[in-house]
Amino acid sequence: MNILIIGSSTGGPRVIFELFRDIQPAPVAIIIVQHMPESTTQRFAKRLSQLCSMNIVIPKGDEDLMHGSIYVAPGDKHLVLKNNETIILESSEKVNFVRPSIDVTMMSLTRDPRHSYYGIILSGMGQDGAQGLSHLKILGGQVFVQDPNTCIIKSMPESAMHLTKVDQVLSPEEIKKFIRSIGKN
Amino acid sequence: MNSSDDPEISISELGLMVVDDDEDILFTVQSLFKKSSFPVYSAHSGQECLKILDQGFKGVILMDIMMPEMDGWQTIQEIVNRNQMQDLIISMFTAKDVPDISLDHLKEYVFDYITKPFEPEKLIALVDDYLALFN
Repeated sequence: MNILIIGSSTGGPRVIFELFRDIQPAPVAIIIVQHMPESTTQRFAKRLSQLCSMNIVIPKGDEDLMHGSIYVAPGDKHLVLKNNETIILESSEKVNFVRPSIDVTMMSLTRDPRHSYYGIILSGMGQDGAQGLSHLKILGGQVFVQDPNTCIIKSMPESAMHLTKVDQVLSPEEIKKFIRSIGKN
Repeated sequence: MNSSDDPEISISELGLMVVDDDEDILFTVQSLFKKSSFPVYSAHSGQECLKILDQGFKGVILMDIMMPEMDGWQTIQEIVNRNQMQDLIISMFTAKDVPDISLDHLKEYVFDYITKPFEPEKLIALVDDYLALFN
């Protein structure tokens, strides 16, 4: 299975909405970890469902990842993957001042020959996602950041680049093309 | 122009609130959105913002950061403390181009960050997009 985790914070939603506008169901399971309160999760997911025809899921826990679905990490819970494919939600302490934390999701993955991992960090404040992206790279995944010059707030992508030699630095348009290319070769 | 000076009313429509101590900014944004189908409220301070929230405001808030007495971040903290985030999307609206990293604990409550001076068409498009989140 192709598994893509997108980490996003302040300034990220507008990029996410453009990334997924008109996207057709694709052979990838996508997890979006957007820093947001619980009260915004439903609205965010609903907006995504209005923009694209992929299956948008706000997991409640115990869901198995499936291609063609976008899983929106619910506000105020960490999204963890058990056995690299089953979603578990945790109410443990905030990490990097946030819950959901991008690091927590990415770092829950382990090396697994069944899956191909991809990680992308978008605009946002702070450092969440930097360690997670490094972890994905160590597992053999492909990792990317939004070009800081195109970011509303650069610190998350820059923190990730500081810790890891990312595979590519991409503009939002390039990220959009990349997502659509996953699983097509 | 709607403001916190209006008599106590219950706000039932989804709208836009601009929170800024700069009267010119308030006037500019009000003018920009004067033909919109949604109401636009102006708050000159964090305290006025909270007053409008107490009247039932729901919708998008453009929040200036640098305001006397209660800055934008302090206002957001107060909104969180009062459990009033439920029906809000907040974007910082500021001339400060790099946010203070010591405020990381509030970042989950800030959906976007719009720097001033802003491009009018882009601001309109963004506000429309955020209000669409309430559809």
